[in-house]
Amino acid sequence: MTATTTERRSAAGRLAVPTDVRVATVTGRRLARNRVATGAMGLAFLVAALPLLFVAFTVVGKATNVMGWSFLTRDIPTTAAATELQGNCAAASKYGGDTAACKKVPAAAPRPGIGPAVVGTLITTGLAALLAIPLGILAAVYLNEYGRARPLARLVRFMTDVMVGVPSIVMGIFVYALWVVTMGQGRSALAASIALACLMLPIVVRSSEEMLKLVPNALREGSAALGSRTWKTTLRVVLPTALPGLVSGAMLAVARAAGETAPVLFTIGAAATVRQATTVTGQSTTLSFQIYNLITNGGRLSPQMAWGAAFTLIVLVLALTLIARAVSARFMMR
Amino acid sequence: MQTIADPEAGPERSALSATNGSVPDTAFRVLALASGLLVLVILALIAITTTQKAWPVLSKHQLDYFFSTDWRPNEQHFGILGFVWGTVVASTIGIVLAVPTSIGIALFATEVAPRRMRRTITTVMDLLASVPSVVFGLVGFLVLKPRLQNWYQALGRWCEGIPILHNVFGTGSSGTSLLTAGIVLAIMITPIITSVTREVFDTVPRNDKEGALALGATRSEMITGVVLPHSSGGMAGAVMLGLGRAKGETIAVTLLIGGVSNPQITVNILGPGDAMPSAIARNLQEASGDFRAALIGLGVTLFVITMLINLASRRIVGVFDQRLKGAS
Amino acid sequence: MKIQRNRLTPVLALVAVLALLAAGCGKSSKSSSTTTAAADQSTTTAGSASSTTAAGAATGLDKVSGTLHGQGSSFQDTFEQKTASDFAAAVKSAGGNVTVLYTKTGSSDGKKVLADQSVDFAGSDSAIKPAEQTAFGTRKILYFPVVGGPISLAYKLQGVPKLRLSADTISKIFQAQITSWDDAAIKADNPGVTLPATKIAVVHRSDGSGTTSNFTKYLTAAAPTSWKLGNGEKVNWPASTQGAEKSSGVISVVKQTEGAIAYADLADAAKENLDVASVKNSSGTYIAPTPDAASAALAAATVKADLTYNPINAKAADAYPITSPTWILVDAKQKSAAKAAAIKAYLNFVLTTGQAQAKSLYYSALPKALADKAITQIDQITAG
Repeated sequence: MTATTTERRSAAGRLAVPTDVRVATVTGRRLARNRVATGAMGLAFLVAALPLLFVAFTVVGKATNVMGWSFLTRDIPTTAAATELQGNCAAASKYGGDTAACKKVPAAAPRPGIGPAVVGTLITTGLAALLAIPLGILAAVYLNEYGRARPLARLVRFMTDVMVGVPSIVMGIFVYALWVVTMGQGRSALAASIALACLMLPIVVRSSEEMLKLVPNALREGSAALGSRTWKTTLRVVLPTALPGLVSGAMLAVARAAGETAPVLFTIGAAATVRQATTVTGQSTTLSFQIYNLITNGGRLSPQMAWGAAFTLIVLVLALTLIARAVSARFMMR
Repeated sequence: MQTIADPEAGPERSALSATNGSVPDTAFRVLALASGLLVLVILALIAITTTQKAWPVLSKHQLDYFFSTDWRPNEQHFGILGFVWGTVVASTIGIVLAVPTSIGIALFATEVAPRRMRRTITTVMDLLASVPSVVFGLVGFLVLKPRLQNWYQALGRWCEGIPILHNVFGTGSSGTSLLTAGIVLAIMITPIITSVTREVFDTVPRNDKEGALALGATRSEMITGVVLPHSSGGMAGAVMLGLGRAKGETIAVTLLIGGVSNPQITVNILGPGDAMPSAIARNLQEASGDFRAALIGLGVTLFVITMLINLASRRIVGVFDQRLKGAS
Repeated sequence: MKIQRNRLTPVLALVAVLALLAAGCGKSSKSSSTTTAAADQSTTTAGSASSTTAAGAATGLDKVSGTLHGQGSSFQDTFEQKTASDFAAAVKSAGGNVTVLYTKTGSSDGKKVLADQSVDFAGSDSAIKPAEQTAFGTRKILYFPVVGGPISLAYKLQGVPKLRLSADTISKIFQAQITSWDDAAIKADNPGVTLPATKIAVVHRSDGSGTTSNFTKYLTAAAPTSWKLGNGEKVNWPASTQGAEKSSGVISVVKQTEGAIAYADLADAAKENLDVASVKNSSGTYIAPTPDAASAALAAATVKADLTYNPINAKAADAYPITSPTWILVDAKQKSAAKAAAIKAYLNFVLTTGQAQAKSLYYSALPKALADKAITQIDQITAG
């Protein structure tokens, strides 16, 4: 790649030193246009980088107010709104509230916490991963090791593409309609993780199939020559070879699911304490869902907690993404 | 190449199978096949359950459900065209802003930037892609909305009296509007379009590019003459992918599009509107009866649009590729 | 008791079996806890509404245990959370251990989950509608009034700190028939006030809401000729009005926009220090939205046998006309004695100690007569 760059530079350099004056005037205009075009491309990158920087600085700046270990583990305060209202003497006299009560200092001021959402995110995303990753890899095995170019495999491949494109909220509606309403199972961490698994499945299938394709056929042939059947070849040779790639693909899918809100909206219910959120079959909450709730809550404490939760979520998603990238980079090098 | 790995490749395989008991192999194959079929099953289930739940309203309103802008849950009348319009307008704004930016970035990364910088660009795009939707919603709702309101009102006043601009940038905005939603969508789909177009640009043969440069073309001429024509099919595919993502984006749009109880077809992009996913997100929890059916019907519509976009993008990419082959 | 439904996984089945065993053990203490619950009933009814800790031990709060799940109305959320937390504290200091978890998901959702028995009580701003009744079958559901609250008309208009509005004017403003603050109708409501020619920006809720429902019910009742949009959790607002997400969204738009007006629960307006308009009631007096004026509206309403009532546009000289009611809905027959005891103790706490702090949260306390009726009704809750 470096070679190409230098070659290209030298080609352009040669053009910049014309021998003919007539050509030179034309080249000047052309060069100007070239410079403008190059500038526009660089500008496009800056334009796209701006929102990222803005989001990063805003979230980090605002999250520092509440961030800390206790914020991540404490229950979500339920009486924050009440305490804020009760302590506001100016409002009490303006709106005919209780002017005596506002002078009393509350016994314990509510402190920000997001523990249940952290626990809930780990549980739902973990469950979704348990459901989607094995099935997704098996489906990829079918596509790459058995189905290949058969009509059925092609259909599955096309439908997987379709499923990648199905909006996440449709997954939410689907699980809500089937699991919550028709089957009467109610909202739960499990229901939410089924919705998230539906979202992850096609992503895992696609990335895993790409990774299996990269496994050299010589390995399969060698294994077969030694008398291994396809299942043994797949389990002993193909999957281990592709493992880092499979892991990185799966992690990206997990990262995507962890940040999703729409599939969780109608399927998870709510939880305010860590104890309540430590459940599979009961109602729970997740970071993204909690942020959505906190944004629209108003008051003073809620926005602060939303920033803190957003910071936590970004760090979680980022960590998963970066690890996945590191793993896949190592895989590509081999 | 495939014959050996393929379990059903004819007589040689069955000869081999005699040595190893075929039970685990069959079991494994069935398991893999079942997992593959699961995708089909889930898609079928999505189509069936959602359509079934939406059926009471779909059968009652029939085509009126899709082509009426009359959405009055209290009077049990449901026409979704206003929401479809909101989705179309916001997605179009998103695409119009994101496509030039993405192509610019992709070209910058493949043709201009030094190698070390390429990695930075990829990282920035990956990071941008990994920011959860709700975080964009949070920043937009709590930080940007008040500022946007002032800017929009200034823009609205400035455009007052100018024929077409006056309609597009009408007054009375609270900062959450079709335009705000479109801008957020643009930010969210830029990384997707960028990464796909980059891959496409990377497939342009080096000989063609160097040939153009050797003939005395400047870099911008080389790009317009060689890179872009070669990549038209892939770029169209990337745009469709971005569109697919934009139409279903829920949370950020819900928080930033404004929210109108009965959205109409309007060109005022500074005014509030509503999109299909947002209407579902806002109301499904509380809805019951026909209202719930109508909201699930919005989901069915989104699902059908997804199918159509997928089919269309195959067709479009195919046509472009064929045209290219014919040309060269 | 946490597991309410059986799911297919064997592990979960095992958990369910364990839960059943635990429930079986719980039953052995049945007789004792019902009697204590009945005893604490009579004592607290007579007792004062203020003391918590001292009375707690005396009234048998130490016997209360378990977790109560409630879900529904967002309107009563702030009150419910505070009362629940105080109740848990009172029980704890009396030696018992109880958790009350309340989640705001909206009134209709609350009724839905009470119908499928996944919660112990529902919060709702409206009675069960005929369409919702089928899901409850033949179960008897009791309504316990909790508090009331004024829905205020919050506005932002420079130089006009006090504003008076009549039902007809409100109806025309929200239907975009009056578009400027210096309109003759508004001037007629506010003699002597200089009104600017600012454009009116109407803001309403974009999500379905009980506040919208009660506000539009008021306009239907008080301005029957001019109000044409009907009533409900969502209505068909004119295109020139603006929607905003949840009450916080509505309030933030009003705060930002000169000339804006919106309807919101008083507590929401108070949080952001917005000006609120006085509204002309059915006796022709302009009344400011205060907890006391809403209490007067509650007192003037006719209460039915099942304790449902409608305080909207109530006929009393000092009543604020746009007043929301709200209830806690519970099954008359509880699954276990422990559950029945806990829920009775909680309701009793809500109707006595809880009432004392309603005003500080910008809710209106129940009139004494209504609270007493509700306390008497607690006895109808039985286990079995």
